[in-house]
Amino acid sequence: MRGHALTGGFFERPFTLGIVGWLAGMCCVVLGCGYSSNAGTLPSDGAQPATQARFISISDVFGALERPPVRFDHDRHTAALKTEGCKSCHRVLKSGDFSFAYSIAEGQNDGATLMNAYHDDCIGCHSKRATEGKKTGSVTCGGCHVVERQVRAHEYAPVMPDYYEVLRDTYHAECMTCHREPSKVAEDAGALDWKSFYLSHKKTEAEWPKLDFDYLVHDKHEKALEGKCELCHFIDPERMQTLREEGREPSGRDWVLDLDEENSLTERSTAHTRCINCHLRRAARNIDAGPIGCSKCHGGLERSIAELADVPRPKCEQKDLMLIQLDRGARSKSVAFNHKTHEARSRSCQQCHHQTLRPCRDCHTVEGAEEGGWITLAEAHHEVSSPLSCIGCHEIEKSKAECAGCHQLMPGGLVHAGCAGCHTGSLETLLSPEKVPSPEYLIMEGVEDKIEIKEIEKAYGPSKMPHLVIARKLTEVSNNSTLASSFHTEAMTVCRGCHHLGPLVARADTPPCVTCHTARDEPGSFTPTLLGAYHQQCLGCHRLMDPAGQKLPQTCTGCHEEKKSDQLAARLQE
Amino acid sequence: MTGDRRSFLRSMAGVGALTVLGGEEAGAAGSDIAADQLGVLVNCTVCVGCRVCEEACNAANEDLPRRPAGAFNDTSVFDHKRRMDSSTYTVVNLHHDPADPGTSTYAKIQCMHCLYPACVSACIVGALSREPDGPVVYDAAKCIGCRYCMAACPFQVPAYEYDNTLTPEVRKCTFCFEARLSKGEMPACVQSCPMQVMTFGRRTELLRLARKKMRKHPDRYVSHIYGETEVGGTSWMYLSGMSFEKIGLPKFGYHPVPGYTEPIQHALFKWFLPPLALCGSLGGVAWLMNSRKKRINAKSGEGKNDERG
Repeated sequence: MRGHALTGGFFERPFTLGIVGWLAGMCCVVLGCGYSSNAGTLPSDGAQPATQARFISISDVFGALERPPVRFDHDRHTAALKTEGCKSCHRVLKSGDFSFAYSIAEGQNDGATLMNAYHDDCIGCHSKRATEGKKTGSVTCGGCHVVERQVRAHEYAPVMPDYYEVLRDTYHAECMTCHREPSKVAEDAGALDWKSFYLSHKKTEAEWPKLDFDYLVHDKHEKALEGKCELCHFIDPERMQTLREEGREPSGRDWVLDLDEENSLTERSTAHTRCINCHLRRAARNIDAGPIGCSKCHGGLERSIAELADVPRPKCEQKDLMLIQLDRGARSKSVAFNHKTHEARSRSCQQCHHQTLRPCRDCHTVEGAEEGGWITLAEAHHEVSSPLSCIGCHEIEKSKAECAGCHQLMPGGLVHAGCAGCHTGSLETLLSPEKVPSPEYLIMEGVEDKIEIKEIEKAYGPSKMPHLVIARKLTEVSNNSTLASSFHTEAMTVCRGCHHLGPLVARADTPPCVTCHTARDEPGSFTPTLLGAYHQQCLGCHRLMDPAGQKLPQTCTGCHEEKKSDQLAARLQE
Repeated sequence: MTGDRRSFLRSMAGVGALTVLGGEEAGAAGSDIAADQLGVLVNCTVCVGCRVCEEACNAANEDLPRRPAGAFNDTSVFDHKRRMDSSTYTVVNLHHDPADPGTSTYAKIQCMHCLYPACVSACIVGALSREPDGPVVYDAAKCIGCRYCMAACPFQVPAYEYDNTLTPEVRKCTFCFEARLSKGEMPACVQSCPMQVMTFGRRTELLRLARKKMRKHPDRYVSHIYGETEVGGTSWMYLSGMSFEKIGLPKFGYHPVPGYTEPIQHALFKWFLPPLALCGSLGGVAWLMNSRKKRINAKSGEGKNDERG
């Protein structure tokens, strides 16, 4: 039995019906306890489920009512439909459980459509039964829309399930954090006007952000459920069949979060049913339970990777270091991949493995397959625009402030020369990532720590560039990053951030900028002159590495001293 | 192959402009587009908003009013959008992306020096003209101040000296044609820019350069060169990381603006036949009316005589 699917349907309704529907759902759980999940007939032991009549029209979907609300007496209907069973009104889920939402009301948030659906269904059934000579209800307006008396709030408070106490305490605790007046809120839960309560607390989906099921949340569940993966994850029946035939126990990789609508934990209704019911059951048994109210899960909390650093990653029989094998006949070598460092740099397995948690090539085949969205294996790893692909994710990393400065002038994405960076063909490269040596060992003797740039001096004085300070900082940035250390394999890689073309040899002469970037404009050449090259390089890097403009100079006088003479005349003389 | 086809089409367009006096050729505007047009490519992604181009423009164009020292260091001008007026040929604006609050782009605007300029087409005295290699220039001596050019310009560039009572002129960027281009120098703004946001050169080469830039950093640019085809093509072209509408460059089709108006104007006077036909038909109607009047008068005269008789 996977979770409680019994209340599922209620959560498929628009959230506007949420709390009313939710509590009604709870009442159905009580009802449902008596039923066998597949029979679809009412219990015969005489224990009639106790329900109270419920007003159908109490919901903001209908708006202002033209007629009195219909008082729906569930008991009378269950008695009358004893032979037909629950399925005459309730939908049967794939699992064989009932969805205890009224089937025609599911997913409806348009008052007129819902009203018509109710009218068609109720009156249709009543008149059909009348022609069959069975006991039936009214087919006229006034038969159902009866003016009884003023509807009082407590009359549509549903009967509470056995863990109602837990539920009430949770809501009270949560509400009181805002209301601060416990006496008023806790007075009588039954007398709460759910409609006005719900309208005042109505939130859009954006205001209830999705739960980020990161490694910490997973770890908590793993510990609480004593490592029983099957309580949440689930094995594809076909897969289970194969495993049985082969006489194997399911391994970690076989557990998946099912993609089908009824069971997927990413479906809102299913997730609510399965999670909250499990939390409620545990809370009723006084076991350490998860949250029941909305905001604990949907508080928009997004833990950073640093916060998740100490959380153990789920064990799914993954290797720490692996070779991503290419197909036979592929010209490139296989890719050495450090799975462990990528676990450390992600917030959940789904960040790369989607909901299926399967290896990439299961769905992203070489030719492309439907279950992989026709995205081929090569695309899945190389697509620059996707944050899920290797290259795409590395591009995002490179666009971060500390990397963007050097990478600004380098072409992004998939470059032909870069193939060998990943396609190494051996795990050895992963075992010994080398750090870039300190700049003192690389810079040629005689190069000053501060270089004075004065070749194009006109309106402003020369700029003193702290060459060694910059080199040290960039080396530090590179060596502190796992990604950078893996790819900055040459000793002089960091120098390439500025000396982007020239041949670079440690402790040897480096071609100066003026070799390509001439001081004066060359006819027919679009290479920036020295003026443009310096400003684009320095200022571009400063702006990217320090967008707030706090640490790195970004104005003229930040680097130059202003000359007092008529600057513009001087600038325009040449 | 395409080059051949293009040059063939271009030569045909030139022949068409010469031979068809009526000027049905869309936006021929009396100018044949030379293959080596001059142009400027503005790469907005590099601009840092230092306003040195504005300062250099003011210094290079001596007919513009002088500004006090340090006037161009004021960055508070970016708080609101500016347009060119009679005292400025170019302005830099800061554009924020409403969809993405973190991003912003500086964009310089000036006369786009269209290949088929609407202002030249609209000018009834020929005060505005297009130089063969690109610059659209203004001759104050011919101008009568009708300001049709201001209404015609799709970019709303030309400004007018409303505060000059006696000798007002239309003002717009000159491409530094007389002051610098004719001496073999590049425009003042292009020359002065420390970030080299602008590249001056032959238009065809600039287009090639723009494509090269976009190929190298596809993530950095909107995949369009503004001015390549807009209103038939402009000499000043733009690259941007933000959509062009957001940086104040409106979306236009590839039809030159004069292409819409000139066929109508020219058709009205083709071979001078329509005016002749109009006058002829009006004269014919007048003659008919006149002779009918005479006839009626003559008849009514007879009738009166009968009654009396």
